[in-house]
Amino acid sequence: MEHVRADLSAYLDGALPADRRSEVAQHLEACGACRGSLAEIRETARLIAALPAAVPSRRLVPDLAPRLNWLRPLRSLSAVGAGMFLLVFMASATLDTGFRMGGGAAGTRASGGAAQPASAPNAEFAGRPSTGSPAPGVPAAPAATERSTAALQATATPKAVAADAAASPARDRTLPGPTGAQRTAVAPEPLRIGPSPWFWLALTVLSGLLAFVTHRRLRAH
Amino acid sequence: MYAHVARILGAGPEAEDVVQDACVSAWRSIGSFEGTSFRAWLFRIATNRAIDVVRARRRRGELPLEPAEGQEETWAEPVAGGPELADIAADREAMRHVEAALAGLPAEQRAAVVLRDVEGFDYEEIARITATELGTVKSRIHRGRLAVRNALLAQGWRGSSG
Repeated sequence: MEHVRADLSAYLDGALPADRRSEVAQHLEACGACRGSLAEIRETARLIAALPAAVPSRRLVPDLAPRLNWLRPLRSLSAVGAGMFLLVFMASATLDTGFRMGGGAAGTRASGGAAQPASAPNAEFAGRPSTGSPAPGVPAAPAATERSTAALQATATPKAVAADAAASPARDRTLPGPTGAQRTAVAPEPLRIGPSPWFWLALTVLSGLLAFVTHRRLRAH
Repeated sequence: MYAHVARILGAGPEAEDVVQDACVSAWRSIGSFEGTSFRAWLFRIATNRAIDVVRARRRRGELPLEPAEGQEETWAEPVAGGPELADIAADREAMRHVEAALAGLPAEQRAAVVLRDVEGFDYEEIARITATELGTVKSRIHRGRLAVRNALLAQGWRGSSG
Protein backbone atom coordinates (compact mmCIF):
# COMPACT_ATOMS: atom_id res chain seq x y z
CA MET A 1 0.00 0.00 0.00
CA GLU A 2 1.47 3.34 -1.06
CA HIS A 3 1.30 6.05 1.60
CA VAL A 4 -0.10 9.48 0.83
CA ARG A 5 2.07 11.56 3.17
CA ALA A 6 3.24 13.96 0.47
CA ASP A 7 -0.36 15.06 -0.15
CA LEU A 8 -1.45 15.41 3.46
CA SER A 9 -0.98 19.19 3.71
CA ALA A 10 -2.86 19.83 0.47
CA TYR A 11 -5.55 17.36 1.60
CA LEU A 12 -5.83 19.20 4.91
CA ASP A 13 -6.20 22.54 3.11
CA GLY A 14 -8.69 21.28 0.54
CA ALA A 15 -6.24 22.01 -2.28
CA LEU A 16 -6.31 18.61 -4.00
CA PRO A 17 -8.26 17.86 -7.17
CA ALA A 18 -11.46 15.95 -6.46
CA ASP A 19 -10.23 12.58 -7.74
CA ARG A 20 -6.96 12.73 -5.80
CA ARG A 21 -8.82 13.88 -2.72
CA SER A 22 -11.08 10.84 -2.76
CA GLU A 23 -8.05 8.54 -3.23
CA VAL A 24 -6.35 10.08 -0.19
CA ALA A 25 -9.55 9.84 1.85
CA GLN A 26 -9.88 6.13 1.00
CA HIS A 27 -6.26 5.52 1.93
CA LEU A 28 -6.65 7.36 5.26
CA GLU A 29 -9.55 5.10 6.19
CA ALA A 30 -7.32 2.10 5.82
CA CYS A 31 -3.94 3.45 7.04
CA GLY A 32 -3.47 4.34 10.70
CA ALA A 33 0.10 5.61 10.12
CA CYS A 34 -1.06 8.18 7.56
CA ARG A 35 -3.94 9.22 9.85
CA GLY A 36 -1.36 9.85 12.58
CA SER A 37 0.79 11.86 10.16
CA LEU A 38 -2.26 13.88 9.12
CA ALA A 39 -3.01 14.66 12.77
CA GLU A 40 0.58 15.80 13.30
CA ILE A 41 0.48 18.07 10.26
CA ARG A 42 -2.85 19.49 11.38
CA GLU A 43 -1.47 20.12 14.86
CA THR A 44 1.70 21.69 13.50
CA ALA A 45 -0.32 24.04 11.29
CA ARG A 46 -2.45 24.97 14.28
CA LEU A 47 0.64 25.73 16.37
CA ILE A 48 2.11 27.93 13.64
CA ALA A 49 -1.19 29.82 13.41
CA ALA A 50 -1.18 30.28 17.21
CA LEU A 51 2.20 32.00 17.29
CA PRO A 52 1.94 35.48 18.79
CA ALA A 53 2.02 38.27 16.21
CA ALA A 54 4.96 40.65 16.33
CA VAL A 55 4.09 44.28 16.99
CA PRO A 56 6.05 47.12 15.36
CA SER A 57 7.82 49.53 17.66
CA ARG A 58 6.81 52.57 15.62
CA ARG A 59 4.15 53.81 13.26
CA LEU A 60 4.84 52.36 9.82
CA VAL A 61 2.86 54.70 7.56
CA PRO A 62 4.15 58.12 8.60
CA ASP A 63 4.87 59.33 5.09
CA LEU A 64 1.26 59.22 4.04
CA ALA A 65 -0.10 61.19 6.97
CA PRO A 66 1.41 64.59 6.02
CA ARG A 67 -0.55 64.45 2.79
CA LEU A 68 -3.57 65.39 4.86
CA ASN A 69 -1.92 68.50 6.30
CA TRP A 70 -3.85 70.66 3.88
CA LEU A 71 -6.95 69.74 5.88
CA ARG A 72 -5.71 71.62 8.95
CA PRO A 73 -6.24 75.18 7.65
CA LEU A 74 -9.54 74.03 6.15
CA ARG A 75 -10.65 72.81 9.56
CA SER A 76 -9.66 76.11 11.23
CA LEU A 77 -11.29 78.22 8.53
CA SER A 78 -14.51 76.27 8.58
CA ALA A 79 -14.69 76.38 12.38
CA VAL A 80 -14.09 80.15 12.47
CA GLY A 81 -16.49 80.57 9.55
CA ALA A 82 -19.19 78.65 11.38
CA GLY A 83 -18.82 80.98 14.37
CA MET A 84 -18.94 84.10 12.21
CA PHE A 85 -21.92 82.91 10.22
CA LEU A 86 -23.70 82.13 13.48
CA LEU A 87 -23.10 85.69 14.69
CA VAL A 88 -24.32 87.13 11.40
CA PHE A 89 -27.36 84.85 11.55
CA MET A 90 -28.18 86.03 15.06
CA ALA A 91 -27.78 89.68 14.09
CA SER A 92 -29.82 89.19 10.95
CA ALA A 93 -32.53 87.29 12.78
CA THR A 94 -32.66 89.95 15.50
CA LEU A 95 -33.05 92.73 12.96
CA ASP A 96 -35.66 90.75 11.07
CA THR A 97 -37.61 90.01 14.21
CA GLY A 98 -37.27 93.61 15.32
CA PHE A 99 -38.63 94.75 12.00
CA ARG A 100 -41.62 92.45 12.23
CA MET A 101 -42.42 93.25 15.85
CA GLY A 102 -41.53 96.91 15.77
CA GLY A 103 -43.26 97.70 12.49
CA GLY A 104 -46.63 98.55 14.02
CA ALA A 105 -45.32 100.28 17.09
CA ALA A 106 -42.96 102.46 15.14
CA GLY A 107 -45.68 104.96 14.39
CA THR A 108 -46.05 105.83 18.02
CA ARG A 109 -42.32 105.74 18.67
CA ALA A 110 -41.35 107.81 15.66
CA SER A 111 -40.96 110.88 17.81
CA GLY A 112 -38.40 108.95 19.89
CA GLY A 113 -35.81 109.53 17.17
CA ALA A 114 -32.48 107.69 17.08
CA ALA A 115 -33.17 105.67 20.23
CA GLN A 116 -34.93 103.06 18.03
CA PRO A 117 -32.64 102.43 15.06
CA ALA A 118 -34.53 99.37 13.87
CA SER A 119 -37.88 101.10 13.82
CA ALA A 120 -36.74 104.50 12.61
CA PRO A 121 -36.68 103.63 8.89
CA ASN A 122 -40.09 102.13 9.37
CA ALA A 123 -41.63 105.19 10.84
CA GLU A 124 -43.37 106.13 7.65
CA PHE A 125 -44.08 102.49 6.95
CA ALA A 126 -46.24 102.42 10.07
CA GLY A 127 -48.91 104.16 8.08
CA ARG A 128 -49.77 100.79 6.52
CA PRO A 129 -51.57 98.77 9.14
CA SER A 130 -51.61 95.58 7.12
CA THR A 131 -47.81 95.11 7.04
CA GLY A 132 -46.99 95.00 10.73
CA SER A 133 -48.51 93.79 13.93
CA PRO A 134 -48.45 96.16 16.85
CA ALA A 135 -46.40 95.47 19.92
CA PRO A 136 -48.36 94.17 22.87
CA GLY A 137 -49.82 96.89 24.99
CA VAL A 138 -49.12 99.66 22.52
CA PRO A 139 -52.11 101.29 20.85
CA ALA A 140 -50.43 101.27 17.49
CA ALA A 141 -53.42 100.64 15.28
CA PRO A 142 -55.31 103.81 16.21
CA ALA A 143 -52.13 105.86 15.82
CA ALA A 144 -51.45 104.36 12.43
CA THR A 145 -54.95 105.01 11.29
CA GLU A 146 -54.69 108.55 12.51
CA ARG A 147 -51.47 109.05 10.55
CA SER A 148 -52.91 107.45 7.46
CA THR A 149 -55.82 109.80 7.61
CA ALA A 150 -53.43 112.69 8.10
CA ALA A 151 -51.52 111.66 5.02
CA LEU A 152 -54.67 111.67 2.97
CA GLN A 153 -55.56 115.07 4.29
CA ALA A 154 -52.10 116.32 3.43
CA THR A 155 -52.62 115.43 -0.17
CA ALA A 156 -55.97 117.13 -0.19
CA THR A 157 -55.29 120.35 1.70
CA PRO A 158 -51.95 121.96 2.47
CA LYS A 159 -53.49 123.57 5.54
CA ALA A 160 -54.14 120.21 7.03
CA VAL A 161 -50.48 119.40 6.55
CA ALA A 162 -49.52 122.42 8.54
CA ALA A 163 -51.86 121.34 11.31
CA ASP A 164 -50.49 117.85 11.26
CA ALA A 165 -46.92 119.18 11.30
CA ALA A 166 -47.71 121.10 14.41
CA ALA A 167 -49.02 117.92 16.02
CA SER A 168 -45.93 115.82 15.26
CA PRO A 169 -42.81 117.83 14.50
CA ALA A 170 -40.53 114.80 14.48
CA ARG A 171 -42.30 113.29 11.51
CA ASP A 172 -42.04 116.55 9.64
CA ARG A 173 -38.28 116.45 9.79
CA THR A 174 -38.26 113.33 7.74
CA LEU A 175 -41.38 113.82 5.67
CA PRO A 176 -41.87 117.47 4.88
CA GLY A 177 -45.01 118.44 3.05
CA PRO A 178 -46.54 116.54 0.16
CA THR A 179 -43.31 114.61 -0.60
CA GLY A 180 -43.58 112.82 2.72
CA ALA A 181 -47.16 112.00 2.02
CA GLN A 182 -46.17 110.39 -1.26
CA ARG A 183 -43.52 108.30 0.44
CA THR A 184 -46.08 106.83 2.76
CA ALA A 185 -47.45 104.97 -0.22
CA VAL A 186 -44.06 103.25 -1.00
CA ALA A 187 -43.36 99.96 0.80
CA PRO A 188 -40.01 100.34 2.60
CA GLU A 189 -37.30 97.66 2.48
CA PRO A 190 -36.83 95.73 5.71
CA LEU A 191 -33.41 96.20 7.32
CA ARG A 192 -31.51 92.96 6.69
CA ILE A 193 -27.96 91.71 6.59
CA GLY A 194 -27.63 89.78 3.36
CA PRO A 195 -30.35 87.78 1.69
CA SER A 196 -32.12 86.17 4.67
CA PRO A 197 -31.38 84.95 8.20
CA TRP A 198 -31.96 81.39 6.97
CA PHE A 199 -29.19 81.83 4.44
CA TRP A 200 -26.75 82.58 7.25
CA LEU A 201 -28.07 79.71 9.31
CA ALA A 202 -27.52 77.33 6.38
CA LEU A 203 -23.96 78.62 6.00
CA THR A 204 -23.42 78.11 9.73
CA VAL A 205 -24.59 74.49 9.54
CA LEU A 206 -22.53 73.77 6.41
CA SER A 207 -19.37 75.30 7.87
CA GLY A 208 -19.91 73.43 11.12
CA LEU A 209 -20.33 70.16 9.25
CA LEU A 210 -17.19 70.80 7.23
CA ALA A 211 -15.23 71.56 10.42
CA PHE A 212 -16.57 68.38 12.04
CA VAL A 213 -15.73 66.14 9.08
CA THR A 214 -12.22 67.54 8.62
CA HIS A 215 -11.58 67.24 12.34
CA ARG A 216 -12.65 63.59 12.34
CA ARG A 217 -10.50 62.89 9.27
CA LEU A 218 -7.46 64.49 10.84
CA ARG A 219 -7.95 62.65 14.11
CA ALA A 220 -8.18 59.33 12.26
CA HIS A 221 -4.62 59.90 11.09
CA MET B 1 1.31 42.87 7.60
CA TYR B 2 4.20 43.67 9.91
CA ALA B 3 3.66 40.35 11.72
CA HIS B 4 3.95 38.53 8.37
CA VAL B 5 7.14 40.34 7.35
CA ALA B 6 8.56 39.82 10.84
CA ARG B 7 8.00 36.06 10.43
CA ILE B 8 10.10 36.08 7.26
CA LEU B 9 12.80 38.54 8.35
CA GLY B 10 12.63 38.44 12.11
CA ALA B 11 11.14 41.25 14.18
CA GLY B 12 13.07 44.49 14.25
CA PRO B 13 13.79 47.74 12.46
CA GLU B 14 14.57 46.00 9.17
CA ALA B 15 11.12 44.38 9.06
CA GLU B 16 9.57 47.73 9.95
CA ASP B 17 11.47 49.39 7.11
CA VAL B 18 10.28 46.73 4.68
CA VAL B 19 6.64 47.26 5.67
CA GLN B 20 7.04 51.01 5.43
CA ASP B 21 8.64 50.76 2.01
CA ALA B 22 5.94 48.35 0.88
CA CYS B 23 3.21 50.77 2.00
CA VAL B 24 4.81 53.70 0.20
CA SER B 25 5.41 51.56 -2.89
CA ALA B 26 1.78 50.39 -2.87
CA TRP B 27 0.60 53.99 -2.46
CA ARG B 28 2.67 55.15 -5.40
CA SER B 29 1.68 52.30 -7.69
CA ILE B 30 -1.96 52.11 -6.64
CA GLY B 31 -2.91 52.82 -10.24
CA SER B 32 -1.35 49.56 -11.38
CA PHE B 33 -3.42 47.48 -8.98
CA GLU B 34 -5.28 44.77 -10.84
CA GLY B 35 -7.24 41.85 -9.54
CA THR B 36 -9.82 41.38 -6.87
CA SER B 37 -7.84 41.24 -3.65
CA PHE B 38 -6.13 44.42 -2.52
CA ARG B 39 -4.85 42.59 0.56
CA ALA B 40 -3.17 39.91 -1.58
CA TRP B 41 -1.61 42.66 -3.68
CA LEU B 42 -0.18 44.36 -0.59
CA PHE B 43 1.15 41.05 0.72
CA ARG B 44 2.76 40.37 -2.60
CA ILE B 45 4.71 43.62 -2.45
CA ALA B 46 5.72 43.09 1.18
CA THR B 47 6.60 39.38 0.79
CA ASN B 48 8.78 39.96 -2.23
CA ARG B 49 10.62 42.78 -0.51
CA ALA B 50 11.16 40.68 2.60
CA ILE B 51 12.52 37.75 0.58
CA ASP B 52 14.81 40.15 -1.31
CA VAL B 53 16.22 41.34 2.01
CA VAL B 54 16.82 37.73 3.13
CA ARG B 55 18.66 36.98 -0.12
CA ALA B 56 20.76 40.12 0.28
CA ARG B 57 21.69 39.03 3.79
CA ARG B 58 22.76 35.64 2.49
CA ARG B 59 24.89 37.25 -0.19
CA ARG B 60 26.58 39.36 2.48
CA GLY B 61 27.15 36.22 4.55
CA GLU B 62 24.92 37.42 7.41
CA LEU B 63 22.76 34.32 7.05
CA PRO B 64 23.74 30.72 6.30
CA LEU B 65 23.03 29.43 2.82
CA GLU B 66 19.50 28.27 2.35
CA PRO B 67 18.95 24.53 2.38
CA ALA B 68 18.07 23.31 -1.07
CA GLU B 69 14.43 22.66 -1.78
CA GLY B 70 13.27 19.48 -3.41
CA GLN B 71 15.02 17.07 -1.11
CA GLU B 72 13.35 13.78 -0.25
CA GLU B 73 10.94 14.42 2.56
CA THR B 74 11.76 12.75 5.83
CA TRP B 75 9.39 11.95 8.67
CA ALA B 76 11.11 11.81 12.04
CA GLU B 77 9.82 9.03 14.24
CA PRO B 78 7.91 10.25 17.31
CA VAL B 79 9.45 9.61 20.70
CA ALA B 80 7.19 7.56 22.89
CA GLY B 81 6.23 9.03 26.25
CA GLY B 82 6.81 12.73 25.45
CA PRO B 83 4.14 15.46 25.65
CA GLU B 84 1.74 15.66 22.75
CA LEU B 85 1.97 18.37 20.10
CA ALA B 86 -1.53 19.43 21.07
CA ASP B 87 -0.22 20.45 24.51
CA ILE B 88 2.38 22.86 23.16
CA ALA B 89 -0.08 25.68 22.50
CA ALA B 90 -0.59 26.20 26.23
CA ASP B 91 3.16 26.22 26.91
CA ARG B 92 4.76 29.59 26.19
CA GLU B 93 8.28 28.17 26.36
CA ALA B 94 7.34 25.41 23.95
CA MET B 95 5.92 27.94 21.51
CA ARG B 96 9.41 29.43 21.26
CA HIS B 97 10.53 26.12 19.81
CA VAL B 98 7.80 26.40 17.20
CA GLU B 99 9.00 29.90 16.39
CA ALA B 100 12.62 28.76 16.19
CA ALA B 101 11.67 25.84 13.96
CA LEU B 102 9.79 28.18 11.64
CA ALA B 103 12.71 30.61 11.59
CA GLY B 104 14.99 27.77 10.47
CA LEU B 105 13.05 27.21 7.24
CA PRO B 106 14.17 28.58 3.88
CA ALA B 107 12.61 32.04 3.42
CA GLU B 108 10.35 31.00 0.53
CA GLN B 109 9.06 28.00 2.48
CA ARG B 110 8.53 30.14 5.55
CA ALA B 111 6.65 32.75 3.53
CA ALA B 112 4.39 30.10 2.00
CA VAL B 113 3.64 28.46 5.38
CA VAL B 114 2.91 31.80 7.07
CA LEU B 115 0.75 32.99 4.18
CA ARG B 116 -1.29 29.79 4.53
CA ASP B 117 -1.41 29.08 8.27
CA VAL B 118 -1.28 32.59 9.70
CA GLU B 119 -2.77 34.79 7.00
CA GLY B 120 -5.22 32.23 5.64
CA PHE B 121 -4.58 32.69 1.91
CA ASP B 122 -5.50 29.74 -0.29
CA TYR B 123 -2.92 27.99 -2.47
CA GLU B 124 -3.81 29.85 -5.65
CA GLU B 125 -3.54 33.22 -3.92
CA ILE B 126 -0.18 32.21 -2.46
CA ALA B 127 0.99 31.21 -5.94
CA ARG B 128 0.07 34.70 -7.19
CA ILE B 129 1.60 36.47 -4.20
CA THR B 130 4.91 34.61 -4.49
CA ALA B 131 4.81 34.43 -8.30
CA THR B 132 5.32 30.65 -8.33
CA GLU B 133 3.57 27.55 -9.65
CA LEU B 134 0.76 25.94 -7.67
CA GLY B 135 2.79 22.72 -7.35
CA THR B 136 5.68 24.68 -5.83
CA VAL B 137 3.33 26.25 -3.30
CA LYS B 138 1.99 22.82 -2.29
CA SER B 139 5.48 21.50 -1.89
CA ARG B 140 6.73 24.49 0.11
CA ILE B 141 3.82 24.45 2.52
CA HIS B 142 4.04 20.72 3.09
CA ARG B 143 7.81 20.64 3.53
CA GLY B 144 7.71 23.68 5.78
CA ARG B 145 5.13 22.12 8.09
CA LEU B 146 6.98 18.83 8.03
CA ALA B 147 10.25 20.53 9.00
CA VAL B 148 8.56 22.25 11.94
CA ARG B 149 6.94 18.98 12.97
CA ASN B 150 10.30 17.17 12.80
CA ALA B 151 11.99 19.93 14.82
CA LEU B 152 9.35 19.67 17.54
CA LEU B 153 9.59 15.89 17.65
CA ALA B 154 13.34 16.24 17.99
CA GLN B 155 12.61 18.30 21.12
CA GLY B 156 10.77 15.37 22.62
CA TRP B 157 7.18 15.97 21.70
CA ARG B 158 5.18 13.26 20.12
CA GLY B 159 2.41 13.31 17.61
CA SER B 160 -1.15 12.91 18.76
CA SER B 161 -2.94 9.66 18.08
CA GLY B 162 -5.16 11.48 15.58
